[in-house]
Amino acid sequence: MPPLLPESAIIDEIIPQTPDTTLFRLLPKERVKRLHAADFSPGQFLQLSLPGAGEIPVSYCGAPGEDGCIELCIKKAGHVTEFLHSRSIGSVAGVHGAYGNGFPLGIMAGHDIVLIAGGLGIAPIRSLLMSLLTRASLYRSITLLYGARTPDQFVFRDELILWQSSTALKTLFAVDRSDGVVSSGTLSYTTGMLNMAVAELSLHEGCIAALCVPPAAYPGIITELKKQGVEDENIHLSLERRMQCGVGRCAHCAVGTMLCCQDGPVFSYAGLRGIQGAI
Amino acid sequence: MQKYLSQENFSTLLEKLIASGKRVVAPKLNAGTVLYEPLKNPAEIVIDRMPRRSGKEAFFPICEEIISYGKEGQKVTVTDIDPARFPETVLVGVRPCDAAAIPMLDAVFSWDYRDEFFLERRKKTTVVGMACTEADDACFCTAVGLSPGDPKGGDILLTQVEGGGYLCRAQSEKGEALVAAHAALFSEPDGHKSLPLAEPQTEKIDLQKVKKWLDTNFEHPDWDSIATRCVGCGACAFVCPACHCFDIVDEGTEKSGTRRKNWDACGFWKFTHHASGHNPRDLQPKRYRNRIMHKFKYYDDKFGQRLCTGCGRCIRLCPAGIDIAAIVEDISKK
Repeated sequence: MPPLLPESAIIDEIIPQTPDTTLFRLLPKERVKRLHAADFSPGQFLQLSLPGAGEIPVSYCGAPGEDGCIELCIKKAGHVTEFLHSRSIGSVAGVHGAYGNGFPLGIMAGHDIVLIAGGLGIAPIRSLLMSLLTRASLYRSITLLYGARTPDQFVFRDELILWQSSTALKTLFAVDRSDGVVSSGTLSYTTGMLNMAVAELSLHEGCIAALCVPPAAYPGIITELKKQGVEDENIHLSLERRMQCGVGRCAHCAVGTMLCCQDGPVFSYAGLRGIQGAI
Repeated sequence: MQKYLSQENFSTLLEKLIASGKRVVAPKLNAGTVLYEPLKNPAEIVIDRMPRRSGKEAFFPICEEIISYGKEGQKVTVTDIDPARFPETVLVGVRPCDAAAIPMLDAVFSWDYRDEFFLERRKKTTVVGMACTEADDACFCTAVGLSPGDPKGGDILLTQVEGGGYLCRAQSEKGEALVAAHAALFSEPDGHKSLPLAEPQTEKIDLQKVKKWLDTNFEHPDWDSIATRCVGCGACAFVCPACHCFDIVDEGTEKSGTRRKNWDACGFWKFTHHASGHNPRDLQPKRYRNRIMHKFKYYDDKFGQRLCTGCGRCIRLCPAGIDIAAIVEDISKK
């Protein structure tokens, strides 16, 4: 169990991604000390505490690393995130974590891996992808499918362009509507819903899928994956729920008998079988 | 072992406990409402009226600080709350339906992660229950497997006797210690006869059948008719002895303030509302379904018991007239 009291971190870098979404890089306030929350696995989350505003759960979006840096990609959506966006480099923020279950990296070696992100669901998927890419040869193949509502909603644009031309992975970017724009800089994408893009992938049995998409997109995508022979046990999805305490007490993030903060946020689709209301 | 405690000695006992510096919490009249509150003197106790809220707040307050923080320049200090400061407490005159809820909360607050706020208070509290001699038409403890004289969850159970005074049964080490520490006030029963216990006018509900229906009917048109009336006020959760969800908010400014844990209710729209705008329980029937599912299925799946003691408070208070006992009974007959 990580300590429940927030540790002080400072905002080291602020990198705007879209008008309302920003990447924040956090480092320990005392540089020599490593933050407990810097030890995580992709798919886990931390609690970000801003004195005077409150505390929110946030997915890690970077790869766990030696440098102890924590990357969080955050959209302005409420008073804590609004407040965070008003902070500047050097401001203090509290963090504690890591919490929850991440993606099962351990079982992925030797398999075809398909990563599917929708909207800000790219945050935990980027964390996973960066971890996979550090030892890309371990995996049979890596495919990233990332959908955004409109072309200007893509975040981590520079990385997307790099990944698009990389031989280490296959990429497919999709937008719900392009508003007549067919490309954005050097980033190319198709138009259509995510599940339609999934239908275009040719997946094999034994493929492992990791998903983080808006709740409404899950049923269609899962149906497509299953149609292509991906087994329930091999579909790992990060569920979105309103979490508060992060330690399985407050009951906000209940998914049937399970709790998203403790049993998730990453669940295998097989593990959600019979849990009505989960998806 | 049963002992007899006269009415006069009961008052003396409360007086001694208060004088010893313990926090003595009991049903007490407060601006027209009976609530479990600290007594200043023994005469304040009200034993013939059901307290508006349950006894859970002796362990799980409506609002409590969990940390405090201060910021000066770039220096932030965070201060943890020391659970050791919680006072030794005797909770007196607890209704059996309230006492029975305490082990239900124990399971929640000690499962996996241990909640020291709850558990430290719990450790320092002796629960003195009192059997009910009167029930109203909302009481349904017998329908969910409890009874007006049920000792579950208490350290001592008092039963009123004819002519005044109580029969006292200590049923835990804490209870025995309290009796032993005031042994002179207790005597051997001498033909004392208990007053007849209350008889709630309900039939026993087959909770296995309820669970079975809930297991397979998450999606069912009846949920709409069951919960259409619910206005989502959350009153049922606030008066419930077993409900235990909470919200965490910061109160204060950037310079200083506290982080607080406040009671919450799954009937509120915002309870599951995501920052993205999505809400997995977007309609009131889905929220009411969660209330029933949590009490009679999810909690049972996880801890092997139900999360309802039949106190009837939610029925008495519901502004829309929703009767959980009737709903659960209907489900048992489906």
